[in-house]
Amino acid sequence: MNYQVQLTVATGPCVAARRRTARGTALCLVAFAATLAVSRPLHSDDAAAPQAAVTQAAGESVALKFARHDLARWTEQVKRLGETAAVAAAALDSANKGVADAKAAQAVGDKALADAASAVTAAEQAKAGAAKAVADSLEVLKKTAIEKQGDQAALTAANAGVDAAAKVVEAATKQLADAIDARKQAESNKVAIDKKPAEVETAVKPATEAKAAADKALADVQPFLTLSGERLTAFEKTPPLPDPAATRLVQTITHDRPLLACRFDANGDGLFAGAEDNAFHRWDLFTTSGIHSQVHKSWLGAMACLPGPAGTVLTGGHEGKLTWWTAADSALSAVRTIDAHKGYIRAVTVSPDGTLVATAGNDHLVKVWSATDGTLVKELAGHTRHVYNVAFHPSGTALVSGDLLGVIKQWAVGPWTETRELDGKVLWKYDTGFKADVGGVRSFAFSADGTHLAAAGITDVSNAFAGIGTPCVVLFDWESGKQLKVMKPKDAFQGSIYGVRFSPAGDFLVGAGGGGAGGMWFWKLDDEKSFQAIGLPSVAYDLDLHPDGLRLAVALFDKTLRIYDLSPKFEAVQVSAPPATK
Amino acid sequence: MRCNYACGTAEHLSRRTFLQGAAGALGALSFGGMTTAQAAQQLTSAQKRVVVFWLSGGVSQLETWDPKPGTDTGGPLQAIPTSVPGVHISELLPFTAQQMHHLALVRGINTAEDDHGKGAYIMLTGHRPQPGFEYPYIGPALASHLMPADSPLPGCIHVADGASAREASFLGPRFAPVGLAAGSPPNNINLPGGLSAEQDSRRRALRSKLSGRFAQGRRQAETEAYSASYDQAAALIARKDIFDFSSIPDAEQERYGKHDFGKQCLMARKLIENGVTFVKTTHSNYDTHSENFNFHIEQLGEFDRPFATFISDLAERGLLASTLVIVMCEFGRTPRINHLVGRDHWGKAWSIAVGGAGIQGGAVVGKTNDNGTAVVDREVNGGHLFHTYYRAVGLDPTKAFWHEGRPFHKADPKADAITEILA
Repeated sequence: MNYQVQLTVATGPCVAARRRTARGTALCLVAFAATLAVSRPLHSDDAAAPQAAVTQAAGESVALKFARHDLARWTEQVKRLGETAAVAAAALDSANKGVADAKAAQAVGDKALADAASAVTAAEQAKAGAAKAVADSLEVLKKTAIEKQGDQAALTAANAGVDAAAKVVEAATKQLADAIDARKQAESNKVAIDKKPAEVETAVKPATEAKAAADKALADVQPFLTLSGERLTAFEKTPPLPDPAATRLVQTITHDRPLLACRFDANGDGLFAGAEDNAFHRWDLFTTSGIHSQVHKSWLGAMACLPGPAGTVLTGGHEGKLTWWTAADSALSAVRTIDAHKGYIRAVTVSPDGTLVATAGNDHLVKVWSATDGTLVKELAGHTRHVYNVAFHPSGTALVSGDLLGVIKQWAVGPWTETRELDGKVLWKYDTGFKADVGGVRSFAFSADGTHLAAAGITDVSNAFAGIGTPCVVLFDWESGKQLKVMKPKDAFQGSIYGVRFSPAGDFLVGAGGGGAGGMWFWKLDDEKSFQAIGLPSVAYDLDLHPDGLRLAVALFDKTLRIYDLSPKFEAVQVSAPPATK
Repeated sequence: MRCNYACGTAEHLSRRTFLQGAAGALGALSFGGMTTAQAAQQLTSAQKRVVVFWLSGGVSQLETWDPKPGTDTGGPLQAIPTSVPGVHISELLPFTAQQMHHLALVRGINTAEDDHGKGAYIMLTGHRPQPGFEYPYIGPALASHLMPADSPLPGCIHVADGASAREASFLGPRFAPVGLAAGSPPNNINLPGGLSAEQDSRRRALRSKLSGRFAQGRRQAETEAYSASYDQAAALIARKDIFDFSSIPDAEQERYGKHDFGKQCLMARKLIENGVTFVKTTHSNYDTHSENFNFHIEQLGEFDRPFATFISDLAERGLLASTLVIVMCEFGRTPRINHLVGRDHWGKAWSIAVGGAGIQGGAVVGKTNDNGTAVVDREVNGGHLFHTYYRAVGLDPTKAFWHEGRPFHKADPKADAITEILA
């Protein structure tokens, strides 16, 4: 599999954060933090812990806490990448030194070969001189024998001269042979020495590339360190509130299959995801590395995090199995897998206290499980069609489930009796042309204070099998169970909403989805038309809120997970860093 | 007077043919002509029947007969074993899987046509579309050979909407399909309110007398057909009990399911049991450009049980051996899963299922590649399928229909039968 993470970072001078005054009321930091603290477990499919594991100073806002945590993580990441870059630089230096040494050795070899060749020449000359001396001495002997017949002494002396010259020749011949051997040795040495530079040079290119990559990785991350520092400074000056108008893309993770589901971990360090490849994924948002595990036999579209820092996550597969996972830095471990439903598990959610898990399935059932040991607590029957979603009320006393027909049932936690039905039929249509039901409750969200329930999907369907309809969020008053608003995009758009969330303060809603194109829309609770729309590169199949309440993640058909920041804009210049490949 | 149907020569128009033609049209003023050879063929193959299950819109081969779980195109659904060792089909067809020993799969279809209308034409006629001309559709074409000569019943019945007289083409309205929309009997099969059987008998006698007087001295095809249509309609009315589906016991309906398609399957069985030659059921709709898997779960969840029950019932009654069953549609669906989690039109590599008369149950022919994007073994098209259908019911597909003195191939002469699945 091929994974990429792209970070989009904004740098520049810090600009004072704008305070939003939604519904005419400026929210104070303390109220915001308190609200956010209880907002996490309220979304369908996800009851992540309100308390993250990140160290938090007493009275410090959640946003500030995560900003501080981000700065620490980016500092750590810059340090790590700096060390990596230093190691890469040392490796390159070593490789370059090896090349220089080899070239120096090559020069020495060249000189040795030249010296050996000179020695051979000198020996050849010596040998030639000795041979001439022999010839001369023989001539002397010949003359002596003719001219001084009987002079035995002269003849002896001439013979001695010949013998001496012959010995010199013998010595010169040996010296020449030795010189030739030395030259051969020098030539042999030269061949080996000449190969060496090329050999060591092969190490230079990867070392150069490794250094460049390490330098680039460091350079890519350094702006985030700067940004996180500016972010913390800005948040320290002015408590941040999410501002839909400021929504900007800050990070992109690229996978090789369409992404179906996403959830931030409680620490804000990683993003869990399900895709059209049956695997469970987690990407670290700071190191950009991913870990992946295949346990499910089908697509993974339902996911929820248990409260607390332990990193326990539940996933529901389309094959009907429910798996408990523990997520560590280097591995995802399947702790327990049970056969939960016959057919798809459409949604998983966790009770606010973390003791119960509820699942919804294609077998028309809602099932409640013990979060600790996976035993079945209760099977809730009553829906007549596929159950698409399930969510606990923030009070923990009620559970809601919604099906294909837009029927929303409320169940009492404990007695497990059906207490009432809410009318979500606007999210459903029977298409007489295609003879099929279309729509359903594709996402649930409760407001933090439990006063509102949002159910999302598609409405005004004109062509079921082409997905032609209008994205829609139905807002209910929880106390009365009455429908308050049927919310749609301000501008014409065809598609569905697959993920909905309340803002931490409950002053606006965000929904993500799409059809031919993707989009995110923001609604104030009093309005039926969206006040802000953000285009997405393709349809979003899921949406999650970062535990800091300021960032969103969407899982897209285009094989990416994208993270958007809603914090008030404090950066002046926005630059996009190229992707880092895992 | 000549009639512009197959053959069409006056000397080939017997009175019986007039009667049959008139009855087939249920009161229409036209009729179908047949050659003596065709009539003889009818007699020799009178026991064979055909049922087509038409999955309108184009069912996904990957969610039915050729699943590819675990691949990039396979989707979220799994494959399950069947009653035939080694043969797996989609988990959406658990009941059908238990009847696989009665069915054969053709997994290498390439019709190279992604248009609904053209794809349907290819699959229902065995020929590619030609401007200004239509071949007879499978129902009329096979009924023209297989329909017993003395049958008071229409040869070709659609137990759903969509029956069109044009399906008979040059075979004429004698073999045009009769539609039983929403499971209702043919129109006007019951006497008008206030009209007793005795009054109706006297009324028909008067009409016959007047018609006979009118025909004196001007007897020709139209007058005979006109008169015969009333006689045959009366014969059909006498068998109207066949269309009284309300008499089917509740438990029997439960076995098929009380939804429209369950009723259609039960009606199809009853019609086959009563000697109707060709029955077409339609299950709608599979044109799943959006939410392919959700809709296939819904639709095939409705299709699977009544279809499997139909197969099982015919087998138990000894009718399956003489009844060719075809499950088909206009094309398959794209292996690629689109942005709406849908699949689009795909005629390049897809599948159908056939069973019953002349078919080797459990056979599988043709193969697609690992992710289903291309046929890699035994590629066939609509022509091959029609050769196979004709052979399966004991007919010679190399013979031609004759129309206005010209031969029209019953099956594409460039193709031949898929013998691997013939019994």
